[in-house]
Order: sequence, then structure tokens, then C-alpha cells
Amino acid sequence: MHRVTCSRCGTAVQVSKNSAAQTSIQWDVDSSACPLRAELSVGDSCPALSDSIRDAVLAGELEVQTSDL
Amino acid sequence: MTEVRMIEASAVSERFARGWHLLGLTREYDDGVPHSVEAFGTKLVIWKAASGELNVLDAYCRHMGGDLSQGSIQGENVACPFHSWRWGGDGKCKEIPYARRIPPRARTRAWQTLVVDGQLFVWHDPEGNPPPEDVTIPAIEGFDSGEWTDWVWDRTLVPSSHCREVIDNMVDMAHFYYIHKGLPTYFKNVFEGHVCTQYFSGTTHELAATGEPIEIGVAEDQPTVSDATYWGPSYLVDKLWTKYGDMTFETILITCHYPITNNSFMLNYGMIMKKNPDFDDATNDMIATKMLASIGSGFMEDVKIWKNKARIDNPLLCEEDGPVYQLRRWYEQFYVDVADIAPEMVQRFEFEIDTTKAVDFWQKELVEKAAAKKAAAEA
Repeated sequence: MHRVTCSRCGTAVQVSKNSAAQTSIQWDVDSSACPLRAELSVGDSCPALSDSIRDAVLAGELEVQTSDL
Repeated sequence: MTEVRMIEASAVSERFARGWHLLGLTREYDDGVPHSVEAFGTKLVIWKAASGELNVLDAYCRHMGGDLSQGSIQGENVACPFHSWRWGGDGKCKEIPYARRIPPRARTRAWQTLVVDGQLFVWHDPEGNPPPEDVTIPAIEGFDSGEWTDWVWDRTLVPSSHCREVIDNMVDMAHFYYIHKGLPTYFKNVFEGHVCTQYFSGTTHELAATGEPIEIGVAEDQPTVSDATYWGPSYLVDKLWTKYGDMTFETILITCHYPITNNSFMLNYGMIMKKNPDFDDATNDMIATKMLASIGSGFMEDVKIWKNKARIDNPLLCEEDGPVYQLRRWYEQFYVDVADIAPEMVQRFEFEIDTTKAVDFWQKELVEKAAAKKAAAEA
């Protein structure tokens, strides 16, 4: 897992990706740390965090890699 | 020597999950007699008191063990068929018709009940605590508005499996293709607190077999769109939109269970459908009934798998499988004391599957099968 910090609110979460379309996000802080969380339904990912994850991939900070489960 | 993978399976937990469990629809208890449900390793009695309140007690009378569910309703109380001891919904013995006084310790186990939208729930907690305020069953928006059909409902006994098997389905993307004639194109899970969600969009074998291009990774506008949430360990609310030709049917499908023993459970499933204004009520009810029957035959396919499969604690996963281990970590919170709930059991976790390879392969397979079938028919 790689730590990605949301560029909007600064909340950091653990992220891994095994392909462009696959994403795994493990929060280790309370999700109420995300100011958008309250407005989103439980199943929705935060769009700002999703943007930050995409940026981390483009910047080469988050590597898309296979991992054995 | 090459190492082979072995299946590991611990003994099934003796404990039953903490949470609200649906026993049935309230309308089932309107017939003036007590009902019995085998659940949580014992038998329960359910009765509707003269005041209209639904009560649930342990069924075995604490006097001499008679089965209260074989007795009768006497006003507010249930009377044991053996010696007519009368028990109230609070668990206290209220009357012993042939006795001058009631023994002071005449109290049995009363189950805390909850009625939501015509469904009866009981709270189970091995620690004996009442439900926290934020752990409840959400009401369905507009349930009483007249826009929805009444419940269509069914249930089936799963005789030799732990209910973990039904929970596992929440993350099992590929089984929707192999078991349920679906073809998921978008699949995502989120776990947080006592809630577990599955977002699913997809098409059907029948539609995919036409060879029409399938959009991958798109959540909306697919022939099947489903937003399903477990509220606690046993009650799944699935907002489900199904397209048939030009028509879209909006339904709320409930899939839930209560444990009977630690290796058997009762699967309950039911739905309401948003009434289509082009049809009268009877036709809408008929459509809902048919849809539920079709979903029910899908559950029978699950049951067939469960009856024959091995319990497995160490599933061997590929990247197109959902997060089984994280799901089970979430599920474990209901089997430990509240004080022992680890942060990672309830912290938010999100997982989206890449369905590209699966959709591509499955559609090719379906198109080939359809072509072979056509060739055979023409031969």
C-alpha cells in the first residue's frame, strides 16, 4: 500500500492499484476527516481523493503493480 | 517436491452475530395464534398481543419446558400448552391460573423487537447489551406512499452452512456470471462501521450473447444497476433497477438471514416494486411476484453451491476477485465483544475491481455458445 494525501483536505489514506481500473483504498483515519464525506453516500468514493490518486499515478508516486493476495 | 495449496478451515464459531435479525413480515403474525421460529440455537415464540404489539420470547417455558409456540394467545400474554403459565412480552410470568402466587424469579428471555416497514426484527447480542442508537434498520423512503407494491416474500432453509457463505457473495464478482447468468461490468465494495456496500452494474447472458458492444467500468445505464448495503451482519437492502426492453423496473430487494444453528440458517428474501403507472395493481403485483421467483431460483443455485462446497478460511484469490479477506475482517466485528472490535474491522475500505478482461472473455464465450447453438439447430 502507498500513502496518498488528498490535495483538497490533506487526509492521507493507503492506496494500491493492480491495474488502471482497479483501486483499493484503506482508510486508517476516521473517514469524517474528509470534509466531503458527509455529503456523499456510503458507497461513493470522494471525487477529490480519486483525483489525488490519479495524480499520484501520473506523477509516478503510486505504481500500478500486481500483488499476490 | 512442488508445494500444493491446502484448504484451511477453523471450527465454526459457537457464537451468533450481534445485530438486528429479520424473523419475518408482521402480516405473518396476524392470525391470532403464536408462531415459532428456530433461531440462535433455540426456539423462539412470536405472538401478536391484543394491544397489537409483537412480542418475542424464548419458546421453551421456564416452568417445565413446554413449547409456548404450541400454546395460545390470552390477551397480552402467551399461554403455555402444558400448564397454562402466562408470559408477557417483557419476559415476566404474569399469571399461573391454578396457583396462589407467581414465583418471584419467573422471568424468561425476552427479545428486543423492531418493526420497520412491515418487517419484524429481533436484536441479538451475546453480551446482553441493547442496540446502540446508530445501529438500526433504515426505513424505505416512501414505503407507505402507495407508489410501491406490497411485499412479495419467500424463504429457504440452508441446512449445512454457516451464514458467512451468504456474506461472501457481497464481494464475489465472478459468481454473478457463473451462478446468476449476469455479467458484471462495474463492481465496487465499500466497508465502513457496521455497513457494507456493493455497487454492481452489468448486463445479462442473453443480452451479451447478441455481441452488442458492452461498456466496461460504467456504473449507470446498464441493464442491471444495483446498490446493495448490509446494515449489520444479516440484513441486505438492494436498490435494484432492471431493464426489460424499453422498460425499467425499480425494486427494493431484501436478502437477509437468521442463524438456526451455527451451521444452518434461514435465508429470507422479498421485494417491493415501484408500481408502473401503465399497469393496474394486480399486474404490478404479478410482475413483482415473477421477478422474485426468478431471483429465488438464483438463490437456489447459491444454495446448491453452499451445500456441496468446503468451508474455506484461506481462499486463493486472483486480481479479478473482490476483497474477501477485508470483507471477513469487517464481518468479524459482529462475532467479538464490542470492546474487542479492532479499528481495522470498522475503518473505511474501498475496492473497485477491473472487469475489463472478465467482460471481454465472458462475452466471447457467450457469443460462441450462441453461434454453436444456432448451428446445431440449423444442422
